[in-house]
Amino acid sequence: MRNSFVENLVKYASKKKNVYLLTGDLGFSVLEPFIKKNPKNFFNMGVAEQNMMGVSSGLALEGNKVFTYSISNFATSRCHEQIRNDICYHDLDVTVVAVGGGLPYGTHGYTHHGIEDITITRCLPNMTVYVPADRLELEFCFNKIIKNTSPKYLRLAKGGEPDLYKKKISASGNVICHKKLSEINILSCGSILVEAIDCCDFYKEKGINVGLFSCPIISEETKPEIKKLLSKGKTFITLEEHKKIGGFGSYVSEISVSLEEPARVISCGVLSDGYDLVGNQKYLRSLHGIDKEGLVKVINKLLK
Amino acid sequence: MSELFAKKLLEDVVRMTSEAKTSHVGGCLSCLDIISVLFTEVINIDKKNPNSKNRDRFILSKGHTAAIIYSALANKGFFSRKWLSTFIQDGTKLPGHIDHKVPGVEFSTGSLGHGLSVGLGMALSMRYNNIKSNVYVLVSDGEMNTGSTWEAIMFAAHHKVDNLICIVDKNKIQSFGETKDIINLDPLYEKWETYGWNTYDIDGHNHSEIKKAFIDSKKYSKKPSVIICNTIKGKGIKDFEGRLISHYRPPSEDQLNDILKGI
Ligand SMILES: [Mg+2]
Repeated sequence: MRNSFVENLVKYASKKKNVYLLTGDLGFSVLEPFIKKNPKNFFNMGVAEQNMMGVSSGLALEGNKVFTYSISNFATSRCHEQIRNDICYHDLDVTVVAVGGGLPYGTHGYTHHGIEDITITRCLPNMTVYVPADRLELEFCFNKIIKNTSPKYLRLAKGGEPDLYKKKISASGNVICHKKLSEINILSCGSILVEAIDCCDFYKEKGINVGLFSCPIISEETKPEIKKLLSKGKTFITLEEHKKIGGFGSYVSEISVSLEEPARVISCGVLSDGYDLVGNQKYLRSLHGIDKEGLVKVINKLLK
Repeated sequence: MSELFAKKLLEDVVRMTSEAKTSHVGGCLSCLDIISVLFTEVINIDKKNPNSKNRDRFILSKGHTAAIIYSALANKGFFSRKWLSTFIQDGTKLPGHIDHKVPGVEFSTGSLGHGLSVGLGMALSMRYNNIKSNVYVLVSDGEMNTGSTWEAIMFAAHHKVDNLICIVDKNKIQSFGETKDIINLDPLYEKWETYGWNTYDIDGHNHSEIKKAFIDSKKYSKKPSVIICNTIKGKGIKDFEGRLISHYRPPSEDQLNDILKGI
């Protein structure tokens, strides 16, 4: 997904003079294609993320479209106030791009677990959060990002995620339907979508339809689409590779409670006790119950 | 010209903070002479064309001394002087920390350690686009505790951003005491110089010295410039001069009247 991001960026920048890419000293063997083609529009800011966000703001104030690149906690927590005051309050055209969203760096320990980033970005003013599941959702998001001149957070996983779509996504809104609305539905956010697809396929073989919707864009603009789904009187399971506190599940729940008849929302995400467990992504997904098997357990209970 | 402007600023900031019964007059008064020279003889800004590409950019990084910039901009005609009496009142256009929604204000600050990075970003873009004007950023000495400011200092020097000019209001006092007792900054001149900046160390209340440093720094190339201005916190209000209390206590009616009489 990292490489697809850079491919999209290189393509976009080839037609523009005002696209900047700043990195906090990360991106080895990822960012080179951009640097090669746009050497004057690239800065390695060093291990100095607060300055990176301030400089991005200054560049954006001068009419540039700026992308910053780092690992999720360094890109968000470390410089949160710069994102809040400088980028968001001034409503600037800066896209904070993070790799390692979720648990792809699960073996590296808690410092590298990107599991609170959605919470702390989506609460900021003017901000839109993009969480693509694969390279096709990334392209889908990127086409919206280039038109969006307000602050953006683009949360990428790592690299080597499987393709989950056979062709270019043609959804008209922000929510992408995989399996049509049913009694039980999964609303999925990010690369964890692969587990939801496996789960739905498992039930399909048994003749049970589980609805599935991918929601890569968390914003005010997406809310009416989610609201429409939630008002159909069905059950919804939210799925994310992120803490349950304040993340995508909270976002959906907040929409639900605003309804006259709130929907039943079951949140599946990284558990608060166990946030510091270490292991590879597959292992950690299983521990937190956010893999296919975890979902099956939740749905079997509902089917009883 | 700058001397006359200084009198207007003095009257305004003492009146604004006194009438609103609010804090931070001390830091307004320490940078009063710097702002007077800057706004009358140095920066090129135009109320009729506030977004002109070729304007100089000014960022107040020590955003708590907003009152003096509001006064400077009102006196330069960016908005009505009547606004000044609404400073920090309910529903005002003039919040206690400087705000970009006010005509002529480039950037909102209030949390220390943000302004130099933003100015650096502007300066990089202006250099890329061959815009020949400068970016001026006023920081406080307490602000020099922040790591983010040092991040910007290192990066600006490495990239030889010579259209960036930083001004340090070295009034020697920060929020809870004297800088020398909290984190001693000295030798500050040597620090900036070692970090690769074209450095000046001047009397921040002497208009001709201030002017000279600005003119010289404008001409300097290949390095960013910093003008360390040695100032007195609360300057002009006798009981406040060099005292921490000037950071908090609003000027009394008597103090305001003394200032008005003096002018
Ligand atoms: Mg000070």
